[in-house]
This record gives sequence, C-alpha cells and structure tokens, in this order.
Amino acid sequence: MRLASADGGGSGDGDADLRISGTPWTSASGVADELRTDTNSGLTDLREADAGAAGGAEGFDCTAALNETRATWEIRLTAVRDECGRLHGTLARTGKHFGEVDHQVGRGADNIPTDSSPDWAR
Amino acid sequence: MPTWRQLRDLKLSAYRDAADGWRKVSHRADTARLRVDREMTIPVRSTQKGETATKAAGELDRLSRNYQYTQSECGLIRTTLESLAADLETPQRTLKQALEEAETLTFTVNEDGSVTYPPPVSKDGTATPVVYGPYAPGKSPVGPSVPFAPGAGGGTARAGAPVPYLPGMGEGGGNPNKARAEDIAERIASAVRTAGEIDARYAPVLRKLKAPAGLEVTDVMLVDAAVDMQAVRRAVGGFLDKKSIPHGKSPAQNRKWWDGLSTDQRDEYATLYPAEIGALDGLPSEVRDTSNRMVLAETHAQVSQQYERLGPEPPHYVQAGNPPTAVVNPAWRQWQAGGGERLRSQLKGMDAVQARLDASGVPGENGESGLPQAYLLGFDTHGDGHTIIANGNPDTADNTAVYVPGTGSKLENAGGDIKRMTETWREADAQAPGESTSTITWIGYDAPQNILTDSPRASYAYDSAPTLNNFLDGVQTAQGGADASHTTVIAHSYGTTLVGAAAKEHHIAADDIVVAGSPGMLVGDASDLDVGSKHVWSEAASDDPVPYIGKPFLGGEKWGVEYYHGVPVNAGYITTIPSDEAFGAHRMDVDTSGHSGYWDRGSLSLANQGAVVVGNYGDVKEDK
Repeated sequence: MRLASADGGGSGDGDADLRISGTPWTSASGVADELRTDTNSGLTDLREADAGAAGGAEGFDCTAALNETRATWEIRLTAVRDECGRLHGTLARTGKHFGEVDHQVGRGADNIPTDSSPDWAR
Repeated sequence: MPTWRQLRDLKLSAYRDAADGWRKVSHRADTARLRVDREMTIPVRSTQKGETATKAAGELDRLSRNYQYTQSECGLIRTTLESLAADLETPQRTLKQALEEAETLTFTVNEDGSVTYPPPVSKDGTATPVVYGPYAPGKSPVGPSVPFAPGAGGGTARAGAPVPYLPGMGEGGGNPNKARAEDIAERIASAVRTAGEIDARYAPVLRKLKAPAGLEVTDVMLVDAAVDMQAVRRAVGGFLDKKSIPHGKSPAQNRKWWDGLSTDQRDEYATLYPAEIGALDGLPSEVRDTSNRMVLAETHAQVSQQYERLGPEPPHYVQAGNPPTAVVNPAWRQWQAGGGERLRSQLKGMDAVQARLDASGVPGENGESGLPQAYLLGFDTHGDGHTIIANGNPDTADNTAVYVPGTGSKLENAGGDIKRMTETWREADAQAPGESTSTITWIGYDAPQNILTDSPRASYAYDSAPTLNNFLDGVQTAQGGADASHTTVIAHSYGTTLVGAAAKEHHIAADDIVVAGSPGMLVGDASDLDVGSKHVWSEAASDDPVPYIGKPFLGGEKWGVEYYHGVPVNAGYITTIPSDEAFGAHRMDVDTSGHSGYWDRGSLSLANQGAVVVGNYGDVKEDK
C-alpha cells in the first residue's frame, strides 16, 4: 500500500479534497477501458455460442428458454460494458483535473522508490 | 416436447458449445471483479480523500458487484447446460440404437413413432405372402394352414401394445417381426418421453436465470440468485454432486482433490457450491475469498429482507392487567419468534465484515498507509455465526498471524476482533516494511458466550481444537509448507485455552504463540506447547482479572516450584498459567490496562506482539 505515500512527500497537508494525484485515476481509467473491451468480448462469446444452439436443437423448450435468457444477459452486459466506457471517461477527466491542480505532488511522487509493489498487486 | 426426429437430430454439442460461451463470460467476470477491486477501487481509495473519491469508489463497488453477480449466474447457466447435455445423451443413444435396429430389419419408423413391419421372411429369402380373409371353399389356401392372427402378415406396431406372454407366438402368429417392431416402438417412445421430461425439467431453470436490466445489483436479485443456485443443484443432481467435495478430510487431502480438478471443474464447483468451497481448508485463499464473498452477499440480502419483513421492533414490555404491570408484549414475542434479535445480530456482524472488505486501501486517520486487500476465508451463520478474514494474502505472506479470540466471540461481535488484527497488521507492517504480512481474524469456533457458566469449562477448547488445527494446517498447505511463512498464533482470553488444547492434541502449525490475558492453557509448561518454550510469549496486564479467575479451572499442572517475585512459595504439583514465572514463557511488558487493551494503537503491548509476528525477537521488551 505504498501508493498512499505519493502525496505524503512534499505537499504537506493541504485541503483534503485536493490530496489527489493524477496517476491512480488515470491508471484506473485505463483498466476501465480494458474491461470495456473484455466485457464486449464476453458479449461476442455469448452470441457465437448461442448461434450454435439455434441450429442443432429445434423442438426443445430449453433452446427457447436459453435464447430468452441470453437476450436478457446481452442487455445487462451491454449496460456493464457501457458503464466501463463511462467510467473510463470520468476517471480520466478527474485524474487530469486533479493532476493539474496537484502538479507539485506529481513531481514529488517521482522520487518515491517503487521497488516494493503493494500487497494487493502481488 | 421434441419429436423422435428432433431428438435424433439434436446436436448435444450445441448445448455444450453454448455452455462454453457462458463459462467464458463467467470467467471473464471473475477476473474483471478482481481487477476492479484491486487495480481500481483500492488505488482510488488509497490516494484520495473527499467527495470525488467517495463517489468514484461507490461506482466502482457497483461495477464490482455486477461482475460478481455475472460470474455466479452465468456460471450456473453454464453448469445447467453441461448437465442438460449429459442427461440428454442417454435417451438420444437409446433412440439411435432403436432406429438402427429398425433399419437393419427394414422396418419403417413413421412420423408418430410407430413402426411398420413387413411379413415374415421364409427360408429361401422371399417374403411369405399371407392372405387375409375368410376361408373360401374350393380354393386351395395359400400360406399357413392355421387361421391368421392379426399382425401375422405385416402391419404397424405402436408403443403401449400389450406384452404377449410368448413373444411372436401369440397374436402375432407366425410373424416374429411384430414383436420386434413393438419393442422398437416402445423404446422410441420411451426415449422421446425421457428427453421430453428432461427438457421440461431444465427449461424453467434456464428461464429463472434471466438477468434484470440495469446496473443495480439489488437484494432481491441476490436473494433470487441464492434460490437459482438451489434450483440448479436440484436439476443437475448427480452431474456435479456435492458429495464429491471432500468432507472431514485433511487440508492436504482437500488440496490434492482441488489440484486434481480441471479449471472448468473448479469453476463449476465454486459457482454451484460456494459455501462448501469457501470453507475448505487448504484451498488457495483467492478461491475461498471469491466463494465466501458471494455467500456473504447472498446471505446479507436474505437476512436483511427477512429482517425488514418483520417490521420495526415493537416495545418489549407493555402494561397490562389491573393494577397494570409490565408484561412481555405479545407483538414483541412474535417479532422475536420471527428472528428479531438473531437477524439483527447477524446483520451487525455481516456489516462489520463488509466494512473491512470495503476498507482496503483507505489511508489511516493520520495518513498511515492503507490496509491491504482483505481475504474472506470463512463465513457462515450457523450457531452464533463464524467468519475468518485476512488482511493481505496469507498464501504469499512472509509473516502470518492468526488471531484466536475468546469468550463472547461470534459473528455479531466481529468488528472488534477484526480491528485487533488490522491494528496488528499496521504495527507489523511498520516494523518490517520490506516484508509482506498477513494478519487473520479467526472467528471459526463456537466460543463460550457466558463468562460465568461457560468459560470455566475446558470442553469448548477441546471440542474446537481440531477445527483450529485444520485451519492452521490449511494456511500452511496453501502457503506451500511449514517454511514458506513465519506464522504466529495470537490468542486472547479463552482463545489461549483453545490454543493450549490444540497444541496438546496435535502438532500446531505455528512458529510462535502469543497469549494475552490467558486464564490458562490446560498445560503446565510452555515447553508442552509444541513450538518450544522460547517461542511462547505471554502478556498479562496487572489489572486484568481473567488470569486469576481462570487459573483454578483452566490452568495446567506440572511438577515444580512456584515463585513469587523470585521467592519460592509452593512446590510439588503446582497449577500454572502463562503469566506465571514457573510456566516458562517469555513474559512481555504490557503498558495497557484491563483485559481488552492489548491491541491499543501505539501501545507497547501491541508493539511487542508486532515484533514477534515479524520475527524481531530482540525488539521485544520483557521481564528477564
């Protein structure tokens, strides 16, 4: 959990709401974008897999049930994907905004040794 | 209901391919949830304070819950489809065999499943013509000389024909094809009927697994998800049996079973039986965490729904009679019978666990570094409720501490016991900043709840010793052996009695034992504790009454001399507890007061424990 020290270096304790450095926001924004792509791939997996069921399983109520259920999940996953896209945008904008405000801190962070990765990233 | 042609043409691979698609979606969601929690929420929380961060963290939590929900439900759809395909295999095979037989015999299977068969074939290979009709005098009869029975010439067999007592010899007369055709028709009908039943059993389950629109993951959805899980379990029956999950086995055997499964099978077990998988000692902490988080989310939703249905708590007592006296309110009695206080205490405990899960990354009040990722290694509401929660991943930790709480510990009171280990984590992390430390709160046993009637009894300790040993063995198994991590068991109050019982009965998988406020460990000497007396550390505040109260009940016996400030006061068989000099443990300095202060932030009591946890024995301040 050494990331927290990024703003402990030089800026002192200013306004709590401004204790924000650009990096975590922008990297979180990057992850959001990757998850958007990944969730989109999940949607593709779903569509491709069920195209098969429609072709080789006529007459079974399960086929109809599966198609109904799949349709609801397509809607849900589309919403999740779009949420990732939205978060990608807002996180990046926030990061940029605070990064500019907190420019001094950003430079201070460069001097912090980063060899020990935080526990949650191991 | 499918026809026989549809059953014959059914591509089971279609369902299996579909299942694979759902598996991918479920697996992606699992990975995505971890990325949201660890790569987005924690960094955002750890560096930020203020409204922007709180709002962002809230949105990220919602995204995380979406992925959790998707992982679970899509995993269930996948297992349902796999099981459906497996179940349909048998009727399809039966049908195909019957059809092949019909073809060999040159029978015709009709649209409705009936089977048309020809007249019998004579020895020279030509069909024997059989004439029907009344005997005509003066005409020489063709064919058999006996009167013709129905079906002797050829005809159509349908399922449900009466079984002849002599196949081929009864009403079919000389035509054995009739019986064969009837048999085939029967098998066709039976296969189609079975397939139809399977279809009708699975279709409603698949329909239940629909996703509501939107992004919210509500309590209603989570309660439904738990119901869905039960429905899938019933439908898939023997395909993925709960009985194949090890029960009552050693952590090493549990791990061997898990390692022997394919990734697909693991995913299936984890989504269908999360409570069982989450409780399995020896499995990777990541796996237990994912499973238990799902159980926690669903249980919390179920319990809050039940609690809300009860309505607000009515007054406990009402005035009744003449003159009026206070009697228990019947409305309150009903509220209590519906779960009342039990549900409320469960919610309190679950909220405390959830609060810790949500605290990962949040910096301390004075800018201390944030807590590490939390791992939920155990959770259930049986009895008084249990939970095991780790600060940092124990599987990869250089130093591990397991906290065993005492009298009164249960799910409801989890908050305080969790806090003791977050404080210990901060202390240990500060003392060994280059090393990774995991501290675990283990509310994993049925602790005595009443200090007067329960606590003086050793039975709670002996009953729960195997549970504690299993957990410790499991941590060691998941770490990859005894030397993988430096492990300290920290016990408080009656928890120290339990640790004593555990060390007495079985090899305890720990390097050091720290006891605080011990009423006695059921052994007379530190060297009986399996880790060597040099690795037993005791803390007892001078105004902590518990050691004195517990000693006659829970102390151990040894042959020796009892000293008081260096002066021998007793000899022979003496009763000892860890704070006694004669016990032979390190007696660490304590600057906190009472029975519950040993984990106060900034105290020497806590600093000493931290030094043991990280193995800096030289930093311990103690009575020499």
